[in-house]
Amino acid sequence: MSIMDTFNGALTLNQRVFAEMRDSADGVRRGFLLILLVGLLVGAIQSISNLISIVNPEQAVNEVLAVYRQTLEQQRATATTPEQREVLRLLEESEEEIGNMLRELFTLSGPLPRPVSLILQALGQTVSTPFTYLSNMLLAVIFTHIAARQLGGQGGIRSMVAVGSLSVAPHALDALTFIPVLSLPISLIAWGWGLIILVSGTAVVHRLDSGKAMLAVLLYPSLLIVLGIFLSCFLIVVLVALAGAGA
Amino acid sequence: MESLAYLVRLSTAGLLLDVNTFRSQRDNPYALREGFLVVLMVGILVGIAGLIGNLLSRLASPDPLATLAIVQRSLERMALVVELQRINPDFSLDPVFSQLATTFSILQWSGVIGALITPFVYLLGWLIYGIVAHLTARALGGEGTLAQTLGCTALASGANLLAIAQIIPFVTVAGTTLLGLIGCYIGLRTAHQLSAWRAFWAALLGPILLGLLLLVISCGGVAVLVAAAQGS
Repeated sequence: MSIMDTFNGALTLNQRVFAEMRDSADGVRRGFLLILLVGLLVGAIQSISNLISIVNPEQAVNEVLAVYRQTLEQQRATATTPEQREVLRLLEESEEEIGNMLRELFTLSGPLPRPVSLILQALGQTVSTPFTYLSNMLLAVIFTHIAARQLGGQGGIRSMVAVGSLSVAPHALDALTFIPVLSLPISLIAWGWGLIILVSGTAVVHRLDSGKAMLAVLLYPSLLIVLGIFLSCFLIVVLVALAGAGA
Repeated sequence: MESLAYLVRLSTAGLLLDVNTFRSQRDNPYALREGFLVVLMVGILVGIAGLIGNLLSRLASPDPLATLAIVQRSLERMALVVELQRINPDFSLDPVFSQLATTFSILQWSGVIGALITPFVYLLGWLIYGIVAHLTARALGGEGTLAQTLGCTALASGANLLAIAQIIPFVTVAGTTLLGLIGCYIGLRTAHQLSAWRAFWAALLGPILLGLLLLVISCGGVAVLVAAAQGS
């Protein structure tokens, strides 16, 4: 089965493709190849998009200064004391100097010519993207596999990695996130679609029903989120108590 | 003497979680020697790739000291800093930026040094992890020998082959540790004929102990800093 057939089969939740990836001796290789291709595609488009914005330093400086002015506006709305307003006035006067600093920094280059440096940075970003997808996939697969085994699943980790790699396929949509308005919806669609593929894949690998497969996928991430919330609340309580004791 | 192609095939099998190769390695009388060579070869390849990538990224990046000089010069001209200096004539950014310059000068060489010691770090990590995992696996009912354990866990270092991508500057490599742990789990399960859960705990105990050790050292470091601050 070609990589494109595997890619299409993953997107359409083709159970035959999932079963073949589970049972194939080179399932992990094909899964990693899919992650590599999707990652390079997304990375290349995103790095070209960044390159276009970096090539024109003045545009990048103006964007940073716009964010700076917006932040000061927000702070001015909440400033209540004369000292705070004085600090904000001084920060506003510093805008031109910040702009000059950014222009100097953006045009500063190393021993290699600037175009070569920019291309190497773009290449680095392109090649880093598959690794991001790989590490996220492995983390999700490990948690899912542990939970699935606890719920009575019979699959092996190698099959889980092979089939779990298919959940990266919808992230080809991330290539379109350079479009400002569509960035968030596209990311959510890709993430949700990948989650569905992971659930379906878990059911195939571990021979579980959809409910248990869904529980296996969501169990440990949910527990970690709840634990994170409790720890954050505890930390806030401790900090408030320390601040109160200090005062 | 094992050929380079054979060692590459072994390490690639570890990267791709080929269970059959793990089984063959378990029954291989030369598993320990071949495992050592696999880890060494991967370490050398990754080290060389890291060295080249680090040098290229330094050539493609502006001089950090020049960057710091621009930032300091601009900050000293800003209205906020000028006003602070008017209020307090002793206020100066020089100590902060001097310290930053010293730090950057040291960090510039850390990448090169890290790349050069990679093979030794990989070998040491493999040996320490392998011994801890072997003792744990045996305690959990495992049947393998130390040579089988080390021979099989050496294949898991194939996951580090992905780090060769560092030859391209500015690349961030991720996922190799998780993939290596999965490889170690498969290796331990194969070498010791353990059940899934026992192999899981045998594979995880080493990293858990390391995490606890780092936590203790961090807490100790923070305690020392707090005591020093209170003392001064």
